[in-house]
Amino acid sequence: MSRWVPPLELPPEGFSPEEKPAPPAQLPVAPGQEEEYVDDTHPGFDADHKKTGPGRWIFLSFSLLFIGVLVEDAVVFLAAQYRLHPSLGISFGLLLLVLTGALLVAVAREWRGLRSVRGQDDARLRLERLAREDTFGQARGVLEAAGERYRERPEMQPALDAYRAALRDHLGDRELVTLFSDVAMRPLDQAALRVVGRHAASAALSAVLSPVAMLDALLFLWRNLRMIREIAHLYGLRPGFAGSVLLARQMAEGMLVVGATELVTHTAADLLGDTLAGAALASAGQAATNALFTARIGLRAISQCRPVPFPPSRKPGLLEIRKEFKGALPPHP
Amino acid sequence: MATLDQLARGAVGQLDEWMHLAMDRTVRLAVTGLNQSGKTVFTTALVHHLLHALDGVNLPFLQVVAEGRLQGTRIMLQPDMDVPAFRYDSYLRALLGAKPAWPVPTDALSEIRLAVRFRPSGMVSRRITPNATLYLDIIDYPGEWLLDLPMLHLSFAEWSAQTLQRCEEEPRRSLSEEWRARLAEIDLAQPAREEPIRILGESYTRFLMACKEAKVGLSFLQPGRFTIPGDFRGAPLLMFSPVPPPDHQGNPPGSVREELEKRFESYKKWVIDTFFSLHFNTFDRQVVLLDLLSAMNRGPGAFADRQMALEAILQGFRYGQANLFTRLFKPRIDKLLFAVTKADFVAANQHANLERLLRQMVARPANDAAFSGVEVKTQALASLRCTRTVVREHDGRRLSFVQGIPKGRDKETLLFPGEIPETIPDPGEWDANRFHFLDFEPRRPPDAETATPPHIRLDHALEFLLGDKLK
Repeated sequence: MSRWVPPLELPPEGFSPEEKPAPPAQLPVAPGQEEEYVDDTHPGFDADHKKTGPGRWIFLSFSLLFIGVLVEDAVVFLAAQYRLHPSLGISFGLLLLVLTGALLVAVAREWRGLRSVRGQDDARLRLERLAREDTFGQARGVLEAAGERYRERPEMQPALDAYRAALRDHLGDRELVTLFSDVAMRPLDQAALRVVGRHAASAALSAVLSPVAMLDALLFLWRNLRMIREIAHLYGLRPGFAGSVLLARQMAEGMLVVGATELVTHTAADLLGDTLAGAALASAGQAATNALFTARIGLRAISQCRPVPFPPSRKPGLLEIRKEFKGALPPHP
Repeated sequence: MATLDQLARGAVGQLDEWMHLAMDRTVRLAVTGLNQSGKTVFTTALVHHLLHALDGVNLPFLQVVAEGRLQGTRIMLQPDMDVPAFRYDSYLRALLGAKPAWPVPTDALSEIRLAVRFRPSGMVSRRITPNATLYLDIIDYPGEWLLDLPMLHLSFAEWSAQTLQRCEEEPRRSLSEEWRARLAEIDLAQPAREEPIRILGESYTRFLMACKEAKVGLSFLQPGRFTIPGDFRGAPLLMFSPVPPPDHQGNPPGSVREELEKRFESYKKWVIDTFFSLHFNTFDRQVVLLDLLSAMNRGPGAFADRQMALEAILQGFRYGQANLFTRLFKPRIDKLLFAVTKADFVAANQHANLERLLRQMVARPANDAAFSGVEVKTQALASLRCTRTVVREHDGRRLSFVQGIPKGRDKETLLFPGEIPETIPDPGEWDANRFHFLDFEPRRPPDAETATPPHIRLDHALEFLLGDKLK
């Protein structure tokens, strides 16, 4: 038998002129991958759960050391207030306790809120693969199903209609994924970027307010969780397990840097002579750090919550956040 | 007063032009093609879709349209007074008229200018100008002119040796018999006389014309103007021929060989140099269209010839050769698109292989071009889609057919023309019955008055060629 089918010409009689695109075929999913996506009840904060041996101990010790330093910073702050006057120390102590408790409750609430959003399924994994390959006839059905998720969302209908109007039967899978990502996802992407811009702006502002590193780190955690939860609600999907691990790692980094910046700010202010200019400069740096980390986590969250991957050249960056960030800041008086 | 007014207007116009150039808002896009590859249809469709980009969802992959930043396109007065105008209206009438027909092939350079108005997306450009205009000059010229390019850095002896070597293989070998017989008769060391040189030149031209004929369909034919002489018809610089290397005496002064060499050098100077300095040197982006399907129909000889032609074209963009060409002209083309046209003549699921095949054909020289800063892309497209893909069961297999009216017929047919291979077939894999690609007649869309005609990936091509200029 020959390896190729010889050319063939048929009269059109008896054939329906309607096009019949090939039905969407199912991509085989490699063993273990379904499990990876189904099992996303895993708490996303244990970023380094796979570390073993000395690496695990080093990570744990550093984490404990960092938490210890944060607690110590809070204790030193309270002790300083107590030295000024015992009543000051007691009231600040109570306030700090209430604030910490409230923030922990808020973090837990955001976490529960995030868990209530539907998890990523293997459709996203399939689309990621199709976006990389020159295949034909497999993406249309998967994308149609992805679009179905937003059937009840009136703000999405014009974009979904535009996507359907742009569909042509010659489009390959990669082109279809790009088209869906560019056209159908546009309103959600814009809204998600606004969310990130708003949170980055308020992260920058709140950094200036808090005098205690521990509170800063908790505030950062709460704000970012809230941002991720809002983004997940927007897309109707929360990050899968792999995405959660990446986000958790980035948040751990963020908390470390934000906490450390607060600690360093105190020293910097001392070095700069405790002047207003020195304090302002140090706070500005801290605000920028907070905003930058929040923006980066927000961008990652957008990528992870989307039902389709971004085409490589269209991934939004910090420039897009900058536009939203400017919009989120209060106007000049 | 009138003179002052004219001067002022001229100065303002010039300033305006400089401003556009300074803002990088003028693009000269050159379109060329090998062997009836459809460059007139491509240019017509490109202009038509840009003019009607706001009418519907026709260019979803052109970012300026997808992002809603396009504000409109208009045909402008042509900037170059000495260049024939591209007759967009008449070509469009032919394509979308009551009896649609492919336009008559053109063999001269023509030009059209479009003004594309859009809102810039960049932070800085948005501040400078909230509404920007891109002036797009589309220059359509025969591919034969581009294929002359490699001759610029060859001596007469080198060019002759290369041409004669190509004639050692089929189908050139049998087609060149008559010319090579003439070459064997002539004594190249003898004093030059007009008549034998003219006879030899005419014989070589006949050979080139035979190679170009539809049933053979070769593209790599130098010098290009021998087959489309235009204003040079009958001039001595179109009357020469490659010759075998001299024995030991070299070129005696006044000999036939010396005269042929003089004509070759004149051709380079008056034809190629003139084209490059007046036109090619001003191009920013280049599209090379080719009809790969007809080459596959004709077999390994025609297919290998297309590959040779592509490599020759890409040589012109090669980096690092301190030759006359790179020193004097320094082409500023920074994006080069090789597009297989007539992609609608095969089923949609074959397009990826068509692109893959083209990518393999240009892989090596494209790598060199990329090194010199030229971005090269390959693509399968159809400027005007005139078939549809229909999937049918046949003998227990699901096959993708194309449905349309083949050229010269008046009834639709369902054609499975053979599958496009993923890699360039080895000589042993070519079979006379493997491919049966047909040309199809253009179809008038049912809503031709209101809707733009369908295309395949014209928006991808536009995004590659103009996307960065419309940001």
